[in-house]
Amino acid sequence: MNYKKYDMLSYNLHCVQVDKFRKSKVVINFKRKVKKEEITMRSLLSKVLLESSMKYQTSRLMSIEIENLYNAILNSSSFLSGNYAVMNFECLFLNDEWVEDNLFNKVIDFMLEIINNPHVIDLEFFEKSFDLAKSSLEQEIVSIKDNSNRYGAIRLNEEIEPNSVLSYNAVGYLDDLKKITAKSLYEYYKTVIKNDLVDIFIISPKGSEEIKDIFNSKFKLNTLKKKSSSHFVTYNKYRSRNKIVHEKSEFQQSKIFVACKFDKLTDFEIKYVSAIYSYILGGGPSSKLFTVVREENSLCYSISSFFKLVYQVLIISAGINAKDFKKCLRLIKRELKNMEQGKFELEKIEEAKITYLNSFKEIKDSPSSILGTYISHEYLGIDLIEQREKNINKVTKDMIVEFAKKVHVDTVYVLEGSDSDE
Amino acid sequence: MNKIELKHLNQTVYHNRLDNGLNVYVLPKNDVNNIYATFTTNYGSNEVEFVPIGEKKMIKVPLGIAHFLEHKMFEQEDGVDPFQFFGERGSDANANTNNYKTTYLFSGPEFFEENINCLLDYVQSPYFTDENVEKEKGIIEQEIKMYQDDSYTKLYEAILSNSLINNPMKDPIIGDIKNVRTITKEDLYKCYNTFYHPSNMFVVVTGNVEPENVFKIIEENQAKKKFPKQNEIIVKDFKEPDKVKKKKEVIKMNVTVPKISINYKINCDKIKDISPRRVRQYLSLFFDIKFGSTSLANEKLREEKIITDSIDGVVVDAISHVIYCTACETEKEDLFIEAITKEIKNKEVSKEELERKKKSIISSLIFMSDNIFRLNDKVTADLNRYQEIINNNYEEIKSLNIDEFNKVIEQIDFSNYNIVIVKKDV
Repeated sequence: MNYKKYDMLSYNLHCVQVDKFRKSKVVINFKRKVKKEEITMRSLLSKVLLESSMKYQTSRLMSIEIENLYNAILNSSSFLSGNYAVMNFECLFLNDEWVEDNLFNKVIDFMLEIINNPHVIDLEFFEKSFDLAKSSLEQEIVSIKDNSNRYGAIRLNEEIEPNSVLSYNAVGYLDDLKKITAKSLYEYYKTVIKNDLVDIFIISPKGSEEIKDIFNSKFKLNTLKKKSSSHFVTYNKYRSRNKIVHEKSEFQQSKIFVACKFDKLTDFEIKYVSAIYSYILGGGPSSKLFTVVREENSLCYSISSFFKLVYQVLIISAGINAKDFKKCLRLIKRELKNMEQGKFELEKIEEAKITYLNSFKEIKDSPSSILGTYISHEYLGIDLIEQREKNINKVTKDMIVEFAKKVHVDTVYVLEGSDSDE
Repeated sequence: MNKIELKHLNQTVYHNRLDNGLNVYVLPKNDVNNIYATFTTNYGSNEVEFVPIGEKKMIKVPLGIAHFLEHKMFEQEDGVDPFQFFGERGSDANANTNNYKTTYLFSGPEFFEENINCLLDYVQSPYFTDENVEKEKGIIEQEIKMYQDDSYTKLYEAILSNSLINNPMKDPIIGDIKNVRTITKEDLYKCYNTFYHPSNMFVVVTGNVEPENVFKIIEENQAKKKFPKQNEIIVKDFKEPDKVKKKKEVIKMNVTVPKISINYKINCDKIKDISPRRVRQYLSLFFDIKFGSTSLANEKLREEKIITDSIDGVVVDAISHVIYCTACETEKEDLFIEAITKEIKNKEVSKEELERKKKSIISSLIFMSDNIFRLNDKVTADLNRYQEIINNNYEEIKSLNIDEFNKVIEQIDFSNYNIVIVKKDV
């Protein structure tokens, strides 16, 4: 595997050359510092650009072209990565030797057509495409409430740190959506092309010089590249008295979400110790939370913990009966205390390390996962696999206990289901 | 050991049948690190009425028992938790149950010999007690509630219960709380002893392995165990009529946008001179061409603001019949129904569209061949459904043609359909 990064002046080009896969992937990212008032605009833009372009003027024609490209898997999204908002276009497609000689070039042309050649008439997005994308986004926003996991996670974030970047919803806001017009969105699109930081990541059997030449001839951005600053978010102190929020819903099952903040963490703790800690606490069927809350007390079907690295927040979530909320929270807090007191076996640490080392091996089996490591490295400074393999072994029990002492339950959000009336 | 070459995909499956009847399949892929192993019984939620091994009378067991049994397999008499075992070796473990089969699995690049022995051992060591059965009921009750909160699950369950009359697929795989509460350890043992004999099971291993080594390890493991002689398993047969059970159902659920599905029940066995499997392939193509993202129907519905996102097409294989579902989210249900039921009467498609769709299917096949999980799924699904591995998918796809397509579609009766709607206000 060979990696090369090129400074193309107005964007960065990252080429990963690997021979063993039958498919290649291209990811084109536009990013800038997040502003709440722009979130919905970006979310909508990522949809509008995939509705149509000047060459493929309807969604149907776009879909037909995708089929002609041997059903290339094309997606766009807009998401938040700490202090940054990222709009992303990615395509997974077969390698040339499996289909026809120049599929790679055709896919690149297609992606650049979507990005560089939007369907614009009289300085505004083509009305039909704009309306379709806007309706789709509206539906997506209102439908969040239909999914208890998704809704609960968003509400938890809003309660932990109201008005902070953590509280922002990457999908967007209805009030903002109503104000966006085809013209204002096109104006915003122009600022994206001009001002956003652009990174292109490619994994393919093609040599990096060949890819660089392709992009040199096809992709021209009229912008000066700026330096990115940190994605990582830092907080004010945690709450000494937990904030507990109950919200009634019409779901059958209740959900509990516990958010923990931290005292200041070191770089090593964020990147390595957190992973081992989170695995032992709630990383799967052999974890402390799963054993205690599900297996010993039958309070839930699933429970897990997850460390949101860029926000430095630990989230624990489970589906429960509302009447078991207090017991469940008590058990969770007890396990957090047990971690602080070092009440876990050394074997668990070894198990976590083996799991992570194995996951690194599995990453090498997937072009998307490999490319993901380079994106994380570029944006978050996450070490590449070889370095991670070395460093994960350096985590000790003392480090985990030290980390555990920095964990503080801050906010508890309970989405009460209809079983709360039982 | 015999070999089955997956043509055009540069892959080979190696097969061995053990003395106890267990079939083992290995698909080596040595350009990856990971290994994925599955151990499957041809027993799923459909088998609710059967003659238990060693008995003569047919019995009926509670709904959801196959799934319940899957949960209980992880409880071992020696107290060693399989999840713990696999976790200590950095491997992932899980299991799943569908209408036709139950599969136990692990994946991980290291400790293959220990892992495969553990997988075989825990699945072949049932341990059900009154106490551990009672404990599981609370967990599964939470799982049922979790699914009941998902509008797509409600939609799907209603599609099956309204489309099917005698086919056991009409009932949810997980059962319901009332049935789950009645399950006993005796029920579980009856199901286990009948369906979990090695002759009714198979192992599939894909990834970074040597076939000879895999066969050797599994043979040694099985040679240490004794299994009773297994007679033929008798499961209650059913005859499924062509008509649907109920033409329309509206389900009240707190969703922001109503969900609707129009579901066509089709008997693929009735088409002359063409195998049912090939008929299904043509039908899938037909529905994709008619209602997929490249169709004029989809485009018109979006332009007229009857739907926002594209129509979802889902195919449900119910053995004797197939149900093709065309679903979407819309406030304008009547207009959607009118558009679909009108368009389906136009059976014409162009050769160009068919040829383009073939590219998509070929692409899916090649994508699959690059992934050890999807390869394992394909082998497992083929064995469970057809009792053999289909090794000429590529050629089959290439040979699909417009003349045969028209011949098939001409004979299809689209009059057996139903409609299911999930909405807030009924």
